[in-house]
Amino acid sequence: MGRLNAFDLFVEHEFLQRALLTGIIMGVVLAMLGIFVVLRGLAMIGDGIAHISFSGIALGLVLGFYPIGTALVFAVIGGLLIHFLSARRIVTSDTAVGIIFTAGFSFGVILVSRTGGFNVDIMGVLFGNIYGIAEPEMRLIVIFGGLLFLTLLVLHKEFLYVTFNDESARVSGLPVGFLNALFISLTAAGIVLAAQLVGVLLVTALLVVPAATSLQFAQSYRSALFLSVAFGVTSVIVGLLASAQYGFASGGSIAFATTVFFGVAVVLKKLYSVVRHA
Amino acid sequence: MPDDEPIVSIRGVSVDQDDHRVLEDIDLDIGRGEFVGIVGPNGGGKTTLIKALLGFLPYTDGRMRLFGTAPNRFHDWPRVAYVPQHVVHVDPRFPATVREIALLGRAGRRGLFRPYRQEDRQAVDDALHEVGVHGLARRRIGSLSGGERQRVFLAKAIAGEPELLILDEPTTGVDPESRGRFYALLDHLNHSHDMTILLISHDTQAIALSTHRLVALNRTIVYDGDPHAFEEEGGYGAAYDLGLHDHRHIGGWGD
Repeated sequence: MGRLNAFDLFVEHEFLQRALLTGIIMGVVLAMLGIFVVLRGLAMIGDGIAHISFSGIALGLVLGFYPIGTALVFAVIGGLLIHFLSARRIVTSDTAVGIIFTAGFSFGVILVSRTGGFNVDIMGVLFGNIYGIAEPEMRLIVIFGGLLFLTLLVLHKEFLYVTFNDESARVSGLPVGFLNALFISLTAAGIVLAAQLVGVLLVTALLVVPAATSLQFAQSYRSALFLSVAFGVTSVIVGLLASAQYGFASGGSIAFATTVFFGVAVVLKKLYSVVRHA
Repeated sequence: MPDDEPIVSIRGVSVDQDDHRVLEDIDLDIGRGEFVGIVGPNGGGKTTLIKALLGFLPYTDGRMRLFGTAPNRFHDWPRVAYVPQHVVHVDPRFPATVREIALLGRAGRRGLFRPYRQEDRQAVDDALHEVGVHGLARRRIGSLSGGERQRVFLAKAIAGEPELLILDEPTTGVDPESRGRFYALLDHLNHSHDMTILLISHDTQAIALSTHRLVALNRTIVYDGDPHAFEEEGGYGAAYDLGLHDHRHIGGWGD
């Protein structure tokens, strides 16, 4: 009897199918959010929000609340705090990230240490547990991921406008303050959901890297979104297949796949321009 | 608002920034169909005046009206198009085509959550034709020259069919030939579309050639009148010098 390959495994096991479905949904959502995040230079805010969500999860675990719920609240509040600290010019945006990020993460560490150490599944929180996604979590990700996707679709012209030039957007009558706050909240929600899959330490990969890869090639806004989603989803699928086949950590495989695509894209683009100018 | 009321009405307005008076006692009315150039040195308050008028900055004294409404209560934004300073300096990697950028000029008119319609695409096509960049519609905005980009931003602005067009230093970083074509386009918009235009520039000569009225701003209005007379009367030097004493005597039709 031949060795089972990754495809057979996915057909056979429901937990792998759940992993694939939730991974693809969050891959799509974060890749779309990522285009705006990267163009606005907010990549570090994404990382900050992910770390803040850690303390939200810790608080949920300690108090017995639903950890994704508390993580969501923490991430949105933390993200908005970063946004307002820099928008009001109290500190620059990278400093705001540095402060809120460490405040959130250290509070999480304190909470976890008070509960008698790392008896809860802290590794799962930090590095993700996409194979542990149960039926209710899958439903949550499908519903909220779907809502995020639809919101980004119906507001795509608005988000393009504020990303391109927020002064013009304001004079056009768009509620720029509201759109900025909404964007941070959507990003926070996307990060918290995706962190369930790939962990708070690696979730930025799905947000930033597919978008950065797509921007190596994109000639239009439409193609930027499409390519980013394509790179995000392909990374999730390739990462999961490699993880299932060879027993690699799933979050690490997916995040690493995004960066491999980026590296290949940069090299291909360089080669192409060398060939064209030769 | 009756038709003969000014589109922009500024009375005795002062603006403070960081405990520093940037604009003092500004009086300015702009009527329908006027083409007004605002000139002045850097730090003279040109951009500040526009930002206050658009509600970005608070003003301390006086009264401002945009289409008869105070800027902070104004909601009829499709009537106004604004081309901010430095907008031509696009991030060269920005992933958007000329058409996608020009369509943003219709975003405010369409409104939140609503997708573009056929009439929006038509208005954008017309605007791109009008400024002569329709052949570039599928190109990435960052791959265009400064002069081409500038015309795209003009197309974006007029695609929204505004009544008042405000441009802040639109010709910085643009070659002289493109600059000439650009001013000719503005003149055309002003005449055949009856668009009221407010143009900020440090290029006094270009303003004298295309506008009907020149306003020189250096914390206060130091000249308001015929653009040609401004140069004849000594331009900046004389205006600012005399302006320190009594600016009202310099301009022809200041009040």
